[in-house]
Amino acid sequence: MAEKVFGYAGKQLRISLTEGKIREEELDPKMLRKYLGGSGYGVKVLYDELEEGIDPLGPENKMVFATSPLTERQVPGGGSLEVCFKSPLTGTWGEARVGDEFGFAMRKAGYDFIIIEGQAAEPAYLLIDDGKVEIKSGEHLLGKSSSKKAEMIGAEEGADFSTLAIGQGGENQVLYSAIMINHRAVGRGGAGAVLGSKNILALSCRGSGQPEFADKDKYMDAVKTAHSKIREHPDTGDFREHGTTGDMGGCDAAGDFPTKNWQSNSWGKGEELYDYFYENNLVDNKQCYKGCPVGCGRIAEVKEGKYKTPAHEGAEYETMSAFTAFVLNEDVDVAVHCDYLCNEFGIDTISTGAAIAFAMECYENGLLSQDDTDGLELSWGNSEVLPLLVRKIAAREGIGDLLAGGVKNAAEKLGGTAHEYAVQVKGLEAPAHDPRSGKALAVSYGTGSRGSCHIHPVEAMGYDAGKMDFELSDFGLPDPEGVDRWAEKGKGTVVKLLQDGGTLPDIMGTCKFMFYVGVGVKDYAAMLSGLTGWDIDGWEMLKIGERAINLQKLFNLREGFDREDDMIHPRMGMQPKFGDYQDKPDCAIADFSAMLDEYYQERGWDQATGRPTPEKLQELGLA
Amino acid sequence: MKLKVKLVSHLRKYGKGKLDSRGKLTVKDGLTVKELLDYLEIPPEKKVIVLVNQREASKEHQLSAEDDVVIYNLLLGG
Repeated sequence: MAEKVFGYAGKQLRISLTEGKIREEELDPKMLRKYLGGSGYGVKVLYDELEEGIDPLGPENKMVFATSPLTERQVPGGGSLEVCFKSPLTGTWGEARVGDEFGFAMRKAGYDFIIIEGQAAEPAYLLIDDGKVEIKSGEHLLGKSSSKKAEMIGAEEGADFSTLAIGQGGENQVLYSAIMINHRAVGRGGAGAVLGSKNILALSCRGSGQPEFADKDKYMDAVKTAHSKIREHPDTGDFREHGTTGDMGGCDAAGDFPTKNWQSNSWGKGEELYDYFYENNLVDNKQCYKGCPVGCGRIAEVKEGKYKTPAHEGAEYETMSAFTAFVLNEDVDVAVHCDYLCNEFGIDTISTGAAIAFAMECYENGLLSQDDTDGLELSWGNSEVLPLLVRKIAAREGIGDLLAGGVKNAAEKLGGTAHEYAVQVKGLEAPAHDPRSGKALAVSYGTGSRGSCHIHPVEAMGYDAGKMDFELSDFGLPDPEGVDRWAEKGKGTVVKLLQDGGTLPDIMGTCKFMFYVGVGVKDYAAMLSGLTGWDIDGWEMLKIGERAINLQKLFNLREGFDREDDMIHPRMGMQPKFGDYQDKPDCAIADFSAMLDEYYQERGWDQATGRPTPEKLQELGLA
Repeated sequence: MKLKVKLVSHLRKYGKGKLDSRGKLTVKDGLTVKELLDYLEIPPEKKVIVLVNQREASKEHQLSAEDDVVIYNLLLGG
């Protein structure tokens, strides 16, 4: 009998598709306090169990669906799930987080973690109903959209199941396809393609149990403190009313708004685009799980016209920026429509918008012609082609097949100057935040374990361009008020701590946005102590974050990624060609390599290779 | 002196009745950024960024006539 660990459901489920075997495994208590859950636990499993150099779309790849004790409804942001895998888009460590109810359902069904390995012989879906687990035929789901698959399973099995499903993008192995749940996405890096490669079209789960807490009073006291901080935070109301999309104007003003495939960091249209969205497309705000104290989700629609689109969840800042500023499109209705299509097809909106922007610049420079684009005119701002390209990418049809492999792969195929227009790090298309608004973001883009993503590096942007400290000043973070956002010295140093703290929500199975409305590492440590009975503090939490980042680094090193792969794309630091910052040379990056030196020094990583030193590995218990 | 003040998106509410239709504001000479924020009644606990002619300005920065002031607050859209 395994030692009882409070706060955890207590088991992991391993589904071996090739053999059709399903088994429950006990959790190792020693591993839990060291790696906690989410992407911390996931990287430990995948680092230990995956062989170097495996095909991410082969049966050798594995997926870990991970929660933590903090995946609880009372915990701010507790409605979360982390999915870990080797990315088919980048070949690096892959992880993506999603909100909604699936994480709760897993724990109620008795599982903190689900490991999926091998490959099913026929299309299938997984049904987890408390302790009963089945691999069921999914032939009838083939070719259906993500929401249709979930609807069909709900009709067959019961509406109280929580369902993750891929769309046609995952079936067609679009390398940045997502796994969807109610139009929210396990978005970046191609989780949908990996699940599709395993012939699994959906996972449905429901449960009736409840993990046992060590000290419920202590836990609830910490929960109340955290909720009170959110209620009192001056940004909570604006976040609820405007969501992430409301940042289009602010980011544009800050020079944090990549425009025309990163040719500028501002456009001057972000505010008016958002105003149109607010007046015409926004239906309501939405909690992604019942009980969220913020409810930043958006319900958006296009009421009428050529791009009439039903009310759906999405149209977040990143998506709206990708389908407007990235491609110089001023038609907000088209952007909302593309958001809907991406969700239905189950493809990542950021990578899709970035791939289209890349194609437009290739077209402008003669690397693509109408012979290559199925006759489409890929000129900047041509809004009519956007939905057509989304459909082609999801179907891997014509030009869509090239773009479905991501911009790095597409640039290698096109040759010439195409690599100059493929704005990515480690193969992950860059999102809608711009290091020319503050240089710390450049370091976090370069060194992010899954590449230049929109989640892990954002603290660095918040620190430099938003002057936020996320309560990490208690752990040594310098006051951002005294820091010049365009200074380069010192940024490598602060990014280490920002990353160690900023990766914790992905390990804790919580929503990162709670950090932005006043809940800090200490608050989560207090809640976790009540749940588990551990006497854990913020310092130990940060060490868990640091350990996960170092193990992700070892994963990437094993796959052959080195210092060169931690360099940013030149576009991220170049002088803007137009916009408000065109004549502000300080916003361009002068010496990224020096910032990387400083970061490696702070991390305890070898300057030449980026490998954690033996002393660092010893310190983290990874030797 | 006159300033051009732009309050971005959800901060626009603080300019109502204070800025003219072109976003101009007449204030006393030598006004500091902090005094401007107080005049606009932006709650001091709200983390706003002030750019003066596209450069970050501290709360103590003294404004000059015809300065182009942009005030924004990031919700950290991701």
